[in-house]
Amino acid sequence: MKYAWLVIGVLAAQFLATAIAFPQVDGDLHWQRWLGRAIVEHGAIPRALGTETFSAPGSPWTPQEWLFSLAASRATGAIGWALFAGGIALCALVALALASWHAERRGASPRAIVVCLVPAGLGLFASFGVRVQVAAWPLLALFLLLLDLEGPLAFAAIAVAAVWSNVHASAMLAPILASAAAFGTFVDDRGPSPAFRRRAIIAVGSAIAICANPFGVGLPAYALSLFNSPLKGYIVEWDVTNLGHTSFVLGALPLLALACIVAVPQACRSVRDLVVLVAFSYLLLSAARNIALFGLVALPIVAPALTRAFAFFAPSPPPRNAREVRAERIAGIVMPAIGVMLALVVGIGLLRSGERTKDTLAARAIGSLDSLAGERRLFCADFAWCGLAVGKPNVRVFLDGRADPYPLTVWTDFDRIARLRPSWREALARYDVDTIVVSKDAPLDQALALGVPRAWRSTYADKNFRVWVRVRDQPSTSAAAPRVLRARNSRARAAYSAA
Amino acid sequence: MRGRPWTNATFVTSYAVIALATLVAIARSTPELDRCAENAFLGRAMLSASGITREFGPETAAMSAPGGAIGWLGNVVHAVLVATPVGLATCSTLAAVSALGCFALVGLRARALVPAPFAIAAVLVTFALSLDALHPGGSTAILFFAAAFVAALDLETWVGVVLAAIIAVAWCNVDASGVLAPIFAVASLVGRCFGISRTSSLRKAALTSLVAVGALLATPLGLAYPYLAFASLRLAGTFSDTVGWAPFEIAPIAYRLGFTALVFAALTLGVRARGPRDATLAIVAIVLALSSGALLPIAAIVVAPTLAVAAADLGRRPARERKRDVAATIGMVPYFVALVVVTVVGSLVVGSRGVADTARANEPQRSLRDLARRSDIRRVACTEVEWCDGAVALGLRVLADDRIGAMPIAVRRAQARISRARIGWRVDVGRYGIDAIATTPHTALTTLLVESGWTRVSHAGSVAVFVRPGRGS
Repeated sequence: MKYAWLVIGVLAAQFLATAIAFPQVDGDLHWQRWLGRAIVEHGAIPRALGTETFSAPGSPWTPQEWLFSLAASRATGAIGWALFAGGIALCALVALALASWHAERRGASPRAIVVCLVPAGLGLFASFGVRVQVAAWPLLALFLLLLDLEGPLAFAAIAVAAVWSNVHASAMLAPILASAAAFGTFVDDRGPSPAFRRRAIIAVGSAIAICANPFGVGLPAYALSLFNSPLKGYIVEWDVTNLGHTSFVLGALPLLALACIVAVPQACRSVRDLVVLVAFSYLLLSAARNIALFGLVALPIVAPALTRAFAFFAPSPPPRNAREVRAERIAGIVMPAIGVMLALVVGIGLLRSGERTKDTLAARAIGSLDSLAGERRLFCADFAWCGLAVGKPNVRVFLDGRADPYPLTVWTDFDRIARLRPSWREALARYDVDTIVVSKDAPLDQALALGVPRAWRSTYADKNFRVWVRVRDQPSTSAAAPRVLRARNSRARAAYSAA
Repeated sequence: MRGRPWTNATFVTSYAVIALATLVAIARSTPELDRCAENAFLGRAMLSASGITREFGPETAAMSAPGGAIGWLGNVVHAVLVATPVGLATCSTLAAVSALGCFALVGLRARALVPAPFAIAAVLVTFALSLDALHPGGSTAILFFAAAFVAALDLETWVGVVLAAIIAVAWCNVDASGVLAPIFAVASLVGRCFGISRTSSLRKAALTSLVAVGALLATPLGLAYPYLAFASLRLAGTFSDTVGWAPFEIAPIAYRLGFTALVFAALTLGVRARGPRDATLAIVAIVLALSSGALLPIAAIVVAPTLAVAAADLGRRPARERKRDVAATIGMVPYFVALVVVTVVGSLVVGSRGVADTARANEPQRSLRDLARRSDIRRVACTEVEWCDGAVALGLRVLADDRIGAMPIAVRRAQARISRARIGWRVDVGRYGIDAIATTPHTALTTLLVESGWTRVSHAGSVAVFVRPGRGS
């Protein structure tokens, strides 16, 4: 682990700075906080979409993020937020540390660990944020570690699965992993050995444990329904992994290549590792959101194999005299200290960068809706933006970052409107949408500007986003309404009509 | 070939079945001839000018930019072949020869190392990964040249060096994918350095790398070829905003059926069966395959024989048990034949969905044919660049065609903006004098064109052609 601290130090800086200083990278956080407040207020977890949406109120919903949402709703104020966001960043670091320790327990040398830890860490980047799935990462790493133990402590994996199911639906992986490990052990040991029986019990126990949450069997059922869900086609995170994903190129792909080169000769002796690797390779190649998971799973398998495959990675011999023992101890203190120092330097550098002022989620555009009168029926050209409007008293949304509970028809209509497919205007009218947030100069923005004269008018525009409202009800109350905006409208129309 | 006559007979029979399936696949996909027609058109232009045109011609907005000579030899060959009475059908023959040659080379490379069933398994994997390329418009040159070059690298003799040089030079002049030759040669050299190769082997590998790099300069484009060819291949997501190029997008069948299975096999069997040199080549090939759908077959060409060796090694027993193993293998022959038949039939059934798509691919040319008769259309833009290949062959001027990777950045950006109706697309339409746009119906661009007063002049299946307001219908 001694070199691993350096890598963890740098990653700590990146993760902590990103989590605490750049919360705007994820639109889900807003509605998750709203969910947490709703749970506290009503004393129960909502099981259906409410009136915060106008396209599918009453649709069944499994808010798997309930525990995270409760914590997020309590994270108020600068200190509360720093603690909460920092805690989530720590989850990522703990996951990496656990996976590294797991690799060390399996005989990986410090050099091999660091070589695998770097890509595993980079693999976390794309999915990282103050997000519920990050909180599940250490549970995955811990589950794998416990599954590998020989003693009765291994059964603690069942408890981990239970906790995991209250954090995120990825807990469904627990029984699958345990079953794969049990199967592999059966093959390795050529029969039902004690290790096989233990893992089989863990598999069955985990399958039951993941129902130990407020949704019962509803959670695994929900997780299984995602496998073939057509909604995945509309969500970027479910895109098939390719070289356009930096985390894949720098993270999972090197690990996959290393696995092909070095892990296999070892894996031939351990079908258990092989089955787990192949299963997660399938997940890796099927969706970009699994890149992070692959790194955490592959690290404890590939690093020990690397140690055995090349002399360069072989563990250094134990200290032979008092001087070497002392040097070893000093290294044990100095390396983490350098790690902390690196964390501080990189963290300060990140905090001073201009990234934190970027508005990538149309926060200001959605904030401008507060000045509009009456109830607004809001359509966001990117559904994640509408997460910021969930719970606003005067706004009901068409589709937001909760995504999964919305019926397929709503998604089809979302796609129809956002991509200007045939009958998009009719779809807007059918849902009685009266407010639209759109990227400036996106096709929908152009179409609204070109449409029936004065059917829509812009009430807000900044460098990147524009808000359009239907003109029929003259919604603006502020005296401001604005000469500036009238000028903006005419400028937009003039620009698009020019050709 | 080593082994007993019956195993060779199994090998040849199985190869014949795969070859037949390849021919059927190519024959069923013949309607897609746009690229072939354009290649012939460009070749004819060179033949009539009695010279190789280094720059793009007036047929695209990239006129006078270097890059027109990429694949010049392929274009000339197409022009000559298409001039025969058989016409465009010769393109199918070229595709079949290239694919079958590739499969034969992969099979023979594997057969030299492992028993027949494993060699056939290697050919089957290559066939599965080539499914999306088995049509005249596919990346057929890559199949043959890659297989031949890798086979030459395997030889480790002076003959191999000479062969590698000849193949590399020919490859670079026939297709942009020739830029892969030095990549493979250098990967092979690096792999040998990691291993315990003899000095003479290393020397030959180094010389092969040198000649492969030198081959990059042995084209009419000279120093510009490596950059332009690399750009044309659209590796590593280059210009992915212009043209979807990821493997699952352009070769979904091969990606799902072949590549994923290949990666699992690599994980299960390992790629080090024949040492670090093969492992290095395998990793390079897998990364190349991930970077571009056109390069998916390369992963199989390089990796499949290595996996066959690893698979054969799995069952290796002490010598006194060998005889029993051979006897067991004889018993397996019917199963392998059944496997070949099932794989081939399954591939054809799954591939038939792709065939339906390629049949539709002829619609752009039908839609654009009317435009070619009009004199008031200055230039056409196609949201799918390959449609414009057919337009060029019809004599129309286009914004960009399938060679977009090698075109200047301004043209590439204009293509991206217009096809996705991004900010500035109207300015580009004016700047390049585009009077007609061929697009898929039901897109944002279609809606914006209708709302801006453009007239739909034809609508054939998956293609709608719009002309600028005022140009009439």
